[in-house]
Amino acid sequence: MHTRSSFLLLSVLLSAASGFAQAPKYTINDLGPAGNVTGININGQVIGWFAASGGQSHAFRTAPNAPINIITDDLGTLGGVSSVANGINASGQVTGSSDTPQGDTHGFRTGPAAKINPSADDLGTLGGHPAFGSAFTSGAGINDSGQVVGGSIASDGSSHGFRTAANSPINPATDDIGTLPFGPVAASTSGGRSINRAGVVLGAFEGGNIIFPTAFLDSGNSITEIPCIIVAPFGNNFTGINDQGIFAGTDNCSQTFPPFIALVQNGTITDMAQCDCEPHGINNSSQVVGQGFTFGPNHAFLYSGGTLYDLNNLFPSGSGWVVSNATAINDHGQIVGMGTLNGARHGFRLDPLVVPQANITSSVTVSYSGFRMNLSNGHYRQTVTLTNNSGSDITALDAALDNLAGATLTNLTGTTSSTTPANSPYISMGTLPNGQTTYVSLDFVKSGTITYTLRLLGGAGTP
Amino acid sequence: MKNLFFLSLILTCSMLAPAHAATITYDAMLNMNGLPTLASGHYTLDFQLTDGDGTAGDNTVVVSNFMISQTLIPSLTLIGSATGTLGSSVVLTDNPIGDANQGFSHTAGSGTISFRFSYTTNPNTSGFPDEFSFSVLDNNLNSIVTNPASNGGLIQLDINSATAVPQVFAADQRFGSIDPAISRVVGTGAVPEPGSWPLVAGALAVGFVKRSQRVNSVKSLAGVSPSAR
Repeated sequence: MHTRSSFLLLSVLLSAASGFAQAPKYTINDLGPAGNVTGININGQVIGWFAASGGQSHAFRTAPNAPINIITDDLGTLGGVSSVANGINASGQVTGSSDTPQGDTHGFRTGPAAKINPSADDLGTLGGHPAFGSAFTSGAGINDSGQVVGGSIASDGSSHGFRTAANSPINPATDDIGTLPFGPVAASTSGGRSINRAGVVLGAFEGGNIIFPTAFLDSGNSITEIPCIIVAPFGNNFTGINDQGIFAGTDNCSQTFPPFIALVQNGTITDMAQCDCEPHGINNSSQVVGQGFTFGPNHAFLYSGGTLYDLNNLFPSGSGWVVSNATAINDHGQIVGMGTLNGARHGFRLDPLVVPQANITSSVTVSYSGFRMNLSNGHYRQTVTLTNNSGSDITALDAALDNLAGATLTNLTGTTSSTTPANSPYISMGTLPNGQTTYVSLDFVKSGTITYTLRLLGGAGTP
Repeated sequence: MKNLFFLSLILTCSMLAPAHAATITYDAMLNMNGLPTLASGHYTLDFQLTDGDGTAGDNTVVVSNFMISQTLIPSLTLIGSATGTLGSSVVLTDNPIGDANQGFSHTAGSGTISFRFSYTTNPNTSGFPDEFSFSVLDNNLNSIVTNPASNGGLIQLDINSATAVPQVFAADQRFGSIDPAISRVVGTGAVPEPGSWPLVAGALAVGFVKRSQRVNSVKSLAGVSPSAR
């Protein structure tokens, strides 16, 4: 179902109502030379791949809000020569693909703060086929539970999408998404692209009389074709799926040129803006980023609040940067991608100019456990239970520990800088849907009686 | 006269003792046969009471009636102010100075464990609750419970009210999802309040002296020298 006209009318009305709505502004950060930058999690950890010491591609994961460090960020391989990283979750688990010592390509899933462990992180295969060697598998996306989606050559020789159980390798008996029963001729291949908090998979299938791969949604109980969102003819023109079940793509049914980019939710396609654009990333506020040609050759774009922006106009001019492709955006509004810095190809991270997050402590019901000592390291763990009673979803939820005494928090995301009091350690938790409960585990090194006051922050902006 | 004396003694002790919250008792049972065999090392049982507010001695947990099938009752390693043995009972009293006070023990990871735990319920008026937990740890001393709602305990009791109730959590799937069962026991004896231990001991001592004096005076009246007893 298309709702282009009504949406455009709504956009016009909203624009008129907001009058002088200000364009978002960013600071730009150099991540360093990279082969590609593919993702960023809620903590500001960036993934992608770079040329390692032997010249081969190696997957990397940065420290939070830090540039690429080729010494510490190299994730290694499954024993072969190269690897790439495609997805990262809030805890820092990374999925992607890597060569194996046998010359196959397998998917992997790392631990939260670990490099690729060949003995533990290999996702295995859906069976493989002799024509393709033993197997080809790639992990494309990972959710916060550790479920991975991707594609793998099945025993029939065709590529199938898969979705693993949390923190488990591929089980061909339960994880094969199959070749999909869409008519008039069943698809011959499928591949998972991304997976959200609820385990809904967004992917693409191809086959029969379908010329180009087309998007599908797999809720686990049913699979739905999204007919107008086509991966065609070049590139990668739809995003991952966010926790509200929304994704963005190029609407190939819009019959215009340039076409419309659209938001898709529950099978409804809502055109947003006419743009020769490829959407690549979306966050839980439905801000969309990607690569566009509307503003000039290879200019990255941002769609936010009903307006399409050339990202090159949203950070200070004269920086030497041209940002050409934005690949991902997190719930704090940080954007990563590739561009050129004084003519050299570099990765970038755009940080929204400081806007303090809202204090939403009164909107959340909080309860505290006591402490339990972990005998393996002597740390103390406390679990805080948070239930959202605000009446709406809370995005980019951050828990700050004000006036912490008697301990240091080891698993902090960062310290508050834009909200008062400053310098309080905080932990980011992503989206907390209305009416739902989440748990934050605090890990302390104790030096006395632990005391603090919890302050909850949410929405766009900086803690 | 005798009854009047003991009545006044009890009343005096009652007035001096801290507010006496309810004592609650549960029986716990855990079938460990679902635990996979470890390639090396062993599983560890971990009983722990950790202070939450910096006030020492305001809650006590007594673990008793410990039984384990297929093996001998293991010996405990005690940390902090924990006392006792699993063969009789283990007393855990919250103590912020000695860190978590724990008893932990090795076990083969099979058979059935059962024990009784009784606890006082003095909720902290400031700070965080005192927490009692029973955990099984893997060969790296990490809890086998990864449920994010748990602090890592198969049984977790946060003493946050006078009617605090323990929670149970299943182990991670990798550890057979073993799941403890607990049931409340009614009509059992109370756990003495930590603050009343000295008073109870004092009362018993005074009672013993008084009783000795009374026996001596009776013997004296009967013509028997007290020193000849």
